Amino acid sequence: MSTTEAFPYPIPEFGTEPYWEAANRRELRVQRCLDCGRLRWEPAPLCLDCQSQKHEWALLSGRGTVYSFTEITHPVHPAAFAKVPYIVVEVELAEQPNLRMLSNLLGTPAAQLQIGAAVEVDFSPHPNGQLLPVFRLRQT
Amino acid sequence: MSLLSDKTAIVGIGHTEYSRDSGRSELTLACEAISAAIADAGLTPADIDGITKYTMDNNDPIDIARNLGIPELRYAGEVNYGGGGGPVGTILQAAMAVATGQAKAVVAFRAMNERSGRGTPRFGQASSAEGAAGLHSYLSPYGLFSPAQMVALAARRHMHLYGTESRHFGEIAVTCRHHANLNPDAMMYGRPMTTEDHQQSRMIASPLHLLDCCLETDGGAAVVITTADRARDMAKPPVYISGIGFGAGHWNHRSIVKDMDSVHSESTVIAKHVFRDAGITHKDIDVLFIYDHFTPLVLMAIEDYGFCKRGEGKDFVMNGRLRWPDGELPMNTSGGNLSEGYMHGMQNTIEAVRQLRGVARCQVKNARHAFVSAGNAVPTSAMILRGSL
Repeated sequence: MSTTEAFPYPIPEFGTEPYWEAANRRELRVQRCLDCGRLRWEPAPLCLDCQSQKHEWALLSGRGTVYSFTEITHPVHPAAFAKVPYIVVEVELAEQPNLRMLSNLLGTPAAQLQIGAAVEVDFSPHPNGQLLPVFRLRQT
Repeated sequence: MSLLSDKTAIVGIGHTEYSRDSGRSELTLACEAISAAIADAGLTPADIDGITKYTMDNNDPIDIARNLGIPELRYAGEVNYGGGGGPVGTILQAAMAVATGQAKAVVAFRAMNERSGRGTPRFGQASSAEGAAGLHSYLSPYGLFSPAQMVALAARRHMHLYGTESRHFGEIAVTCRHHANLNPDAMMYGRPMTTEDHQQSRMIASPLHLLDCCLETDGGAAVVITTADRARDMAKPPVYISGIGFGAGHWNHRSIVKDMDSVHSESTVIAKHVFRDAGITHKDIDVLFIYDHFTPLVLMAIEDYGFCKRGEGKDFVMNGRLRWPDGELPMNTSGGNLSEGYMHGMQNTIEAVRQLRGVARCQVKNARHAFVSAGNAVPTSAMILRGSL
């Protein structure tokens, strides 16, 4: 695969393989602290609230709202020339206030997108085969 | 007050020209800027025994010491998050080194070929690695690479929460360009900018236009720090470091997008301490130097350092308040990262010293106190400088 054709693929860190393995099963899972119950993204070795090392990979609904977004029009990576414009979205996930993740918003032009819009997860393949969690506007 | 309050001073400033292609090595740029700063202080390399650098700077202090003929190096330090955290953080380390007697006179510097890319990669462009590890494994696959793209997310959130508009960001860009056009050393000298120019400039990552983003620059900039006692015998009037500090918190770690919904930030941490340490209030600041990587972050820094409340920045920056000569709080009076040259903020520190020596081109009358910040949205630093005139 040439670097001009694709954005970088994710290299899983020690301990975060379940995040990417879940995505390949079309599941959005994040760490839930087994001591205080808090969910966290991005994956981290300790609970950011109680510092516990114990966690499970909790299955989320994949639903959330648009917290912020940007339409990227200036390509800074070789693969971006064929992709601009594309939308990077910060999603607040439904399960917990301030549980936010970064991703792409697919299927809706930026001009029709607003903060607060309801979204749900989908999975889009990276050219290397890894499914990436992405978001689309939720059909009501 | 802290143990450092008014105990140290900046006594020398120096810089190379700021250009798109310096035509020489980053080590050459560092040595030129540092030599100029040492000479400005009325010192020689034999008087210097410490060097502090930005972590991102490719130069090694020992190479500089060898080339400049610094006979004994007693302190060498570097500041992380620098990058943007460097223009004050390096001075904080230098001040601590001289105040504790570990060194007598320390140089803090930044030198890079960032625009030409000869030595330092351009920060506005992504690496060509095929895989992304660590934090970037959650960002790069989505095409989220550059600081501008990350700032865009925080900027839109600020607009949503507080009604801030692009034209408010534009006022900051236009103000810095106005000052650059009064500074023949600025990269954007002779290239005026209107609000209309800002609004018409192409989008980079909405809502950020091209003219919301800082320059990319080749060059070098340096300052010399020593104790307040020694400073009184130097060639130029001392500029005392009245308050200085570093700040970061959990909101800097959760992701690299600035958390607009937290009332705290790296800037609020610092503001609590530096004004107290300097024994002054915001009203005492005569000239403002806010690290200007991206205009929305300048507005957010003005709010979070307490010059106005969160959400009031959009009104605070308007109506020429930040513009020399008539504004009540002129900001980045040599043009800043946005229009003078992107020396990772060290050019703002140098201009603050000029203001307090009374020798700036856009001289603020009777300037006594300057507030100088390093880059926000990452762990950062800021200081209050006091002139001796």
